[in-house]
Amino acid sequence: MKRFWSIILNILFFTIVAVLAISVATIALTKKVNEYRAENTNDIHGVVVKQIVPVLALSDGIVTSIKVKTGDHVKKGQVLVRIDNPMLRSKINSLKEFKDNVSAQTEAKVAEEELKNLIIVSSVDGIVGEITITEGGPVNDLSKAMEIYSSEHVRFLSELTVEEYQQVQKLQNIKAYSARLNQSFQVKAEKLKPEAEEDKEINAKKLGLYFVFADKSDAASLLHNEDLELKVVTDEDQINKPIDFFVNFWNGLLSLKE
Amino acid sequence: MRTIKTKKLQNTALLFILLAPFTILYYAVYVFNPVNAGNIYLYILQIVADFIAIVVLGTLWLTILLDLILPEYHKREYRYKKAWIEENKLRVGVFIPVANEPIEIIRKTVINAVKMDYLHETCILDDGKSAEVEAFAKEVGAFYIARPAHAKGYAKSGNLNYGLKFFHGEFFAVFDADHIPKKTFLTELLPFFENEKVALVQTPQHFVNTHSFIASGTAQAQDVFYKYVQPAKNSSNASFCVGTNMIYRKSSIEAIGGIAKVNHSEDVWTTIMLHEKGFESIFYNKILAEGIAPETINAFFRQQNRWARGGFSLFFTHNPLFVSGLTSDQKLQYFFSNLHYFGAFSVLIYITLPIFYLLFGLHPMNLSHGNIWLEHYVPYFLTVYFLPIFLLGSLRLSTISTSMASFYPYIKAFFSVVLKNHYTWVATESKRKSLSVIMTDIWPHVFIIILSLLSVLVGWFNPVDIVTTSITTFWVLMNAYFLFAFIKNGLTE
Repeated sequence: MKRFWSIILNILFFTIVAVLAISVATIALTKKVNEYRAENTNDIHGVVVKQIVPVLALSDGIVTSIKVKTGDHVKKGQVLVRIDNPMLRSKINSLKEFKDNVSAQTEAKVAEEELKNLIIVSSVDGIVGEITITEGGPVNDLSKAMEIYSSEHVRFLSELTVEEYQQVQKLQNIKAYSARLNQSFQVKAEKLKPEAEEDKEINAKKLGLYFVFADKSDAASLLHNEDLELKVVTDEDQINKPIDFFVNFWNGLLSLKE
Repeated sequence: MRTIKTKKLQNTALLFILLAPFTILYYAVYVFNPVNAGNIYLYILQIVADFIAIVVLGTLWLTILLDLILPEYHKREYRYKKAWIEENKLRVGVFIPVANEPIEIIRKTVINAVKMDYLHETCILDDGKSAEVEAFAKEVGAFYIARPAHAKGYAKSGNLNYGLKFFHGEFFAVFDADHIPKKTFLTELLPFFENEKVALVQTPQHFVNTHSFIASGTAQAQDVFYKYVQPAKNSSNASFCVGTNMIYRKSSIEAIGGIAKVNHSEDVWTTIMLHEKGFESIFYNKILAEGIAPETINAFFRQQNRWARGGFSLFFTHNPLFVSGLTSDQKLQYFFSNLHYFGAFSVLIYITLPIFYLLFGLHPMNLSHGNIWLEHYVPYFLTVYFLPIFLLGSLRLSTISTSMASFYPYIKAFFSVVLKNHYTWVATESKRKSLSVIMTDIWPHVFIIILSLLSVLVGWFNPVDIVTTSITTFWVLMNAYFLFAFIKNGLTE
């Protein structure tokens, strides 16, 4: 009986010691792998390209209120700016007094229609960019009030070497990583930049390649001209090696990554 | 009149002894210069380890060298006249303190003790109170004294003191249950006592069970001590008792109030007290008793732990440097002996540092200037490594293994002395009745071995520096092998 217990205790003790040793060794390994990976990631960067939609004032007037600020997400049809035009109003009022005069009534109606233009709404979903008007300030007909970075047709432009380009073309799974958001986005290679298409033949050092985002809602949160890191995940890397078990485990448990 | 000479050293050994200070200095100048530091924490560990190692080595070197270069006329003289013991009928006792050792072991020792030349009475001092031993004592004509429960305390020292109450002779020899005396033991040693200042004559502990791995390692590690250190200490009248194979003068022991009342290492404590009172000790370098060294890991560690406790407790509670009554030579020699056990920290650090390098790429020294570290380290290492080989003739694997593995009982002893833990004395060869969980003794070694092997794998993942990694790998694997050999042989025997 004593022998039995001493064997059990020895095994237990040995297991604890072995687990401890393995832990120390694999923590060290994880650190090394993290360093190695940091050194060996192909550092391909690119920028987010968004379509810039100008918001125009369709009437002269004075800005009474700006409902959004730079960086706000806006939806299509959302009110952006209210403009007032006291001259137009008084004109309508005086025209309305000529009740029998048909042409005056017509002119008043036209002017009232024009009043609707005093409310500027967004024509697209997107993020508010530069605002060129100020509250209380004047606006002119057809002048630019602000810019909106449209959430539609967001692209990601990256400069690649020919090899990288060939590598990227073969892959299905490409990710773009935003350091600002600490988030990766699935992207798909779309088309070469037009001028690159021509240069391709003459051995251009770098090719500009456009990517589109798989999920459009992801793209909305990115900024125009924002720097993203392209993570090329090769098929080899996809297969989990035994090393990854420990590396992922310790990276998850302790914050070993900088 | 005669002097006892140390065995003549080989000239090559002498060359190494003379060369050692230069290589040590060359290395020390490099390593203790903070400019060369790498990782600061590891560097601190490194200099602690090097400092201890160099001091321990230095003391050994001083002891041996001083004895070698001492001119003949300067050496201690001993009065030694064989006829003296025949002219004076000395009353001699032989004490064999036992505490639960197996009867087979006690039997041999007692029978041989009884058979020794010169008239003496043999007495078994039993701390375990066994009817079997009592019957056996009667059978061979030995006295049997069992210490009663009310007189318990102070382990072996208490046992000897209790036995002394019943002894009315002038001299008494002491043998541990596992040390078998030769026939001529008494006749060869007693003549030294003609000089009335001599209170103790000690002979070496010699282990014969060298078929056992651990025992052979212990035996050889002891050799440096008994062949070189004790004889050298003898020149300074500072050789000390090792608890067995010696003869005490009873009146001297009474003058210091009996055998030192301590739970362990009563041998060193008693000797230091004798020296404080101005008595002399003699180390006679001739094997006159054959002992059995521990063969199992557990017994070996308990023995080493006990020895280390002796060294540490003396260092911390009765530091020989500040003991009045000792001569300056004695102070120095005792101090040197106490330092020996601190070497355990060096061993542990030396084992750990290369593993650290492989795992985390951290090195105590700044390696960016190429091979400067190696240039300083290699000559130092060679002298340190070859010095014992030249002193002993050869270095056994078992010696390296056991010396290395004993860092654990030493460090344990250090902390229990510093933290003043209670200690219960268990004889080296006694049968332990409690559950034996060997892992409690060898877990640090198992941990180091597993970690060493894994660290090699980690080290070769994307290595920074191939040369350093190769050397370190070799080093780590060697260390792991030594520890593995210790565990493997310790468990299979």
